Amino acid sequence: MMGSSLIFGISIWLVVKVFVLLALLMYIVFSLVVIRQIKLMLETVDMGLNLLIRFIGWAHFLFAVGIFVIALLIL
Amino acid sequence: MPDIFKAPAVPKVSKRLNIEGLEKFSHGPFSSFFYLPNSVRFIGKDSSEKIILFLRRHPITNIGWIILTIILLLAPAVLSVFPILSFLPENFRFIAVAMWYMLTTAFAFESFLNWFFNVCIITDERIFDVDFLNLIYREISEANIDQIQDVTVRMGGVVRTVFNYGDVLIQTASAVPNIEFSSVSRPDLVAKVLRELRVEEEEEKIEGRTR
Repeated sequence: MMGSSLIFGISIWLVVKVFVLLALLMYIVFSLVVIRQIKLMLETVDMGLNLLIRFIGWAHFLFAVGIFVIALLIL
Repeated sequence: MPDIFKAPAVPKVSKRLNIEGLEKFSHGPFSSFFYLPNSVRFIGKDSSEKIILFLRRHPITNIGWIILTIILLLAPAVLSVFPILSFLPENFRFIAVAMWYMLTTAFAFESFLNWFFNVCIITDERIFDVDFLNLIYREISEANIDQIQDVTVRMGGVVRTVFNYGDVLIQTASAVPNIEFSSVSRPDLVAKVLRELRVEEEEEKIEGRTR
């Protein structure tokens, strides 16, 4: 199926892949903003759960990076 | 000119309110009504300042995003019955589902953070309303206890009455004329605490107690 649909000699799935990777890159930037946001929130109010919330923020970032790498490899 | 008489500064006594039933509201960090939380710190807190009440929105206000998250999590499994993504190659289908779960995670995490960090704090000297309006913008409204002019409790609707939560509107004489504690648990008790603190503040002024 891959490469069967061509627009100006370019596979449509290649175009889709580029857009998917761009979207995933934007998501990685978003997850970095979330980490920054968590830092700001913890500076404002500290309730003794800093480690857990920071961990979730970083896990979310690593999840986004992981999906980006997988997309890069399998698409 | 030398002072003839200088009144000794009377140390301010630590405030502990005489309101029945308050003691039982001392729970963990996920509590929406926390009396005398020792583990909580916030920006601009004086070392001698004591937090009396730590409030956030009632947990029932989270029900909307929790239900939506569950629906979003179940959607790929349910929709797999229908061949919606069948036109996609296998690898694209996998990434589409992964991206769906990623966005669901982001939605749930953001909603949780929004609830967890939008807090209202009543100390023995001041009241604070901390609002995170979007990803990196925060707004902190603050007023001294003695600047409080009027406290209004707003409660209405079936859900709010059943779960005992509502808004506490505080009019102040400070730069921020109105501070609103939205959807907090037990608003009547919050208003009572504020009233007690105002009375104590007045007494302190009369007695000349200083910190």
